[in-house]
Order: sequence, then C-alpha cells, then structure tokens
Amino acid sequence: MILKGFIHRGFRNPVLLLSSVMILLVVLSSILAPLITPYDPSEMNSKVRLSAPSVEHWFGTDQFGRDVFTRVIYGSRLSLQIAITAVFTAVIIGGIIGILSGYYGGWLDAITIRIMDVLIAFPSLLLALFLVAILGPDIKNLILAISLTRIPYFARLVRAEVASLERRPFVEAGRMVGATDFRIMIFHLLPNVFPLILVFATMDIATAVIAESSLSYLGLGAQPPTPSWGRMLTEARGFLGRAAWLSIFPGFFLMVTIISFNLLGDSLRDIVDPRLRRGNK
Amino acid sequence: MIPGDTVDMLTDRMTFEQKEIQRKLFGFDQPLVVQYGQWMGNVVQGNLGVSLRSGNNVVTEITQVVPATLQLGVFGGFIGILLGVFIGIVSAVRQDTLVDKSLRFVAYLGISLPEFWLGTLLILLFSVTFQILPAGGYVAFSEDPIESLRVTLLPALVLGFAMAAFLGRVVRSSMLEILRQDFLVVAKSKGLPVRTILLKHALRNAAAPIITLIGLQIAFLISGSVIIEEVFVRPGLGRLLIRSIFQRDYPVVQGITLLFAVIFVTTNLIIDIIRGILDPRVGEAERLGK
Repeated sequence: MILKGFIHRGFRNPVLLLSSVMILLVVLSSILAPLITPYDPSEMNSKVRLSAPSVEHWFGTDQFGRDVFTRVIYGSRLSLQIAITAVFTAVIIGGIIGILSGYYGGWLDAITIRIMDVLIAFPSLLLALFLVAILGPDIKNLILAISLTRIPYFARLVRAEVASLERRPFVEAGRMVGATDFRIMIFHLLPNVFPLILVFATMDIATAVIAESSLSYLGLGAQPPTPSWGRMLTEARGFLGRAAWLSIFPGFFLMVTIISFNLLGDSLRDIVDPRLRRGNK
Repeated sequence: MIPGDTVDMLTDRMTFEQKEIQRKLFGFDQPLVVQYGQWMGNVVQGNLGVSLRSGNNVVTEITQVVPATLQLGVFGGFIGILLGVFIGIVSAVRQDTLVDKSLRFVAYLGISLPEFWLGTLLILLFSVTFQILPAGGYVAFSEDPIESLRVTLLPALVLGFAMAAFLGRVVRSSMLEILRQDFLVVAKSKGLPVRTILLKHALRNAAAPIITLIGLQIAFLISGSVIIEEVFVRPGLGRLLIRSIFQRDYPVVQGITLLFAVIFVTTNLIIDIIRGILDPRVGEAERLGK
C-alpha cells in the first residue's frame, strides 16, 4: 500500500522524489565508501597539509594531510550506522512498550507512561550527554544513549494509536472468534500502526543524526581518528580563517542528510495520513 | 563506567599509597550508596560539595559562570520569541503566498540545522569574511556593555533562530485556526485596523499553545546553549559541564545536572499555572479528570 502510493506520487511530488534520491545517494556512498574514495580516511600525508580543494583532493586536505572528501564519505557511514541502529532499537523497544501498555492499559500503562513522561521532560540531547558521560565515550554507548532518548517518543506514539484502535470493531471481532491477545497485537494492531511508525522513524533518523553529530562535536562521540562529521567540525575550528573547506564540506553533507530525512518523513506522513496535511494548511 | 577516577586524572606522579590516601580524603573508598547518601544529605543543606579540580565550592564554581549562560539565554530567547511570533503571524496572514512559503522554508532550515553548524557558518561569514563581529569569547556586561552585546550577538542569533523556527510553526498554525473564527470576521467587518485585530484579538486567543511552547523551549534554550557555548568558546554552564565531564569532576557535573533538573521542573510547573490562568477550561478539564 505504501510502496504503491510512493511510486504513484513520486512523479507528482518533487519533494518526495528529491529527498528519496538524496537519501539513496548518501546511503549508497556510505556503503560503497571504500570503492569511491581515492584515499584511506586516516592516511596522513605531510606534503599536502591544509591544501585547498583541487583535482587530486576534491574537498582539500586537513592539518594532517588527510583527504577531506574521503573522510566526509566515511563520516556518512558512521552517522548513518549510528542513527539507523539507534532508531531501529528505539522502534523495537518503544513499539513493544507502546503496544503492551496501550492494549492492556491499567496499572502497567500508568507506570510505563509516567516513566516515559519523565524521560521526555529532560531534553534528549542533555540526557544522551549525561549517559555518554557516565558510560564513557564510544560508538556503542553513543548508540545506546541516543536510542534510550528516542524510546519514549515511539512508546507514546504507538500507545496512543493502539489505545484508540483497540476499541474498534475489528479487534472486538477478533476477540469474539477467540484470537489470543498475542495474535490480536501482532496480526491486527501492528499492521495498522506500522505506517505511522515508519513515518516517525524516518524523521527520527534526522534527529538521531543531529544527536550523533552534536555529541561527536562535543568530543563525546566517536573518538579520533574515526572520521565523523561532528568531530571534523570541532577539529576544523582552529582553521576557520585559513582552511574554511575543513568545516564547509562535512557541515554541508550533514545538513543535506538531515534535511533529506526530514523531508522524506514529511512526504511519507502526507501519504500515510492525509488528514494531517489538510490540518497543516 | 569510564575507567579511572579523578585521582588518576589529577596526577600520575603519586604512588599507589598516596593515591589511596587521596581517595580516602574524597570519600571514594566508600560504597556508592553511602557516597550518594552523603551527597543528598549535603544538597538538602544547600551544600553541593567541592570541585575536585579546583577545590572551590561547587556553588561558587556554578554561580561564576551563570551570568554568561543567562545573558545568552535571555538574549537568544528574546530574539527567538520576536522572530518566531513575527514569522508565524506574517506567514499565517499571507497564507500560501510566496512570503509564506519562503518563511516556512527558513523555519524548516532552522529545525534541521544543528546549532554547531549554523554557528560555524555565522562565524565564517561575520568573523572571518567580513570581520565585523568577534568569533567568540565573553565580556561581562558590567565591564563593557557594548562589547558584551557584540560578543553575545552571534551565539544569541543561533539560539534564537532555532527557537524561532519551532515557535513560528506553532504560531502560524494556531493563528490560522483563530483567523477563521467568526469573532474575527465580525471584528474585520466592524472596520477595526488590521494591526488591532491581529495583535489584540487573534494573538491573545492563540496565546495558550504559544506560551506552552515558549515554556518548553526553556529546556531547549539550556541544551542548545551547551553546544553553542562550545562553538563560541563562551565560559558558561555548558562549557563548565563539558570540561567537568572530561576531568571527571563529578561534584560539579552533579551540581549542574541538579540545577538543570530544578529549572525544568519549575518551568513546567509555571507553564501549567499560566495555562490555567489564560484558559480557564484547562484547569477545569483537569479537575474533572479530562
């Protein structure tokens, strides 16, 4: 249903088309990084330190003579890897919490939703920052911290949706023919919530990319020499006057990635839930 | 946990025995529960402990850097509210025109751009290329008011722009809802000037969700300032927090965390009260159990 609408609308909706193409490009380049980059991301070359963009080094080189183009492409690998893993984890855990508490309600629901509210009350970035500070800065903990801050949003979304679906006749009918709770949740409720989850997960990848790069910028993300967009921008701070390309290229790719995921999420939402679009206008 | 504690960070010239004596002095040899209990007991009495790095009282450490963050927050919030309400009203009144579309595009950028990237761009533009504004640092307002504002302008713009982007969207949609209502049609047919209609009649009725959002944005202002202070090398709470995390100066980290938590809880409470006053239906509904 989604795919059909997607292809159908792709030709009429330039935003949808453009954002999907951009994301495809970013994903492909990160997967094929070793094939399309001419250098090694941590290969230093003292002869070409801080050289401006040229034919050999499309995006110039940094203070160690490392190729910026190569590092930017590898940076997309890291960002996407972290963001997608974190969001995927958050969707699974948040989804389970949301379905259970929306379906059963009662005290289980009351307790979980209070915990989620507490998690949401604290700004995600600060929460992730404190978690990484306690656990120690590395990629695994970064994923853990980011996904933990995203879980409550998915749990609340799924819970609200399930709680409203649960009163609908088809669930009632399912119960009457003797379907188990598990069967109702998996085969009746989940397919109905799934499109909504997909939309929010897409937009959340943008949020997770921002979180990852922000923490890396603060030095709490990937540790050098791993190329990461946020980290590259921190390291470029000392060279703003002399070598602006060190900041501009990673920042530009970061921006394009975030905007693409946001736009794709928005377009998907319009397809999945046309009511929202009319409400927006 | 990060391996090693503060004693390891302070010096590596001590022998194991000397380090153990230091640990005993700080109370690190006690179980975590006991350490936490002692910390809580002191907090209740207004004592946040002593910074392990400088030996200063944590309260002093924090109050020293609060002005830099407060100035940034107030200035940024001011820009954010003005810009956000302006964007929202203009794009609601000029709905679906080119003006509306470009303003919404700008708001979209504001939501999508990480603060540190926008900050870097502004530094490149205003400090490196045109050289009209300083790239960072901090000057106390009492020392040199003009220089202080100049130093704060760029970071405040970054903070304000991100806030305005969120606010603009909400102002726009709640204004659109209000503008369609009958009483505004009446006001218009009575011949009231547009400005009066917009500011007195429409904006006041659209205020409840906007106030809620502004309140929620306080939390955003704080977390935004942590990164922005890093970008603009501004010695405020955020920089102190990051530095303390790296130096494992846990009393300071705990102190700042506590301060943030208190601010969030207080602002949430104040928003709820203000909403109740602005729209009596809110309080009523909650009393009736939704």
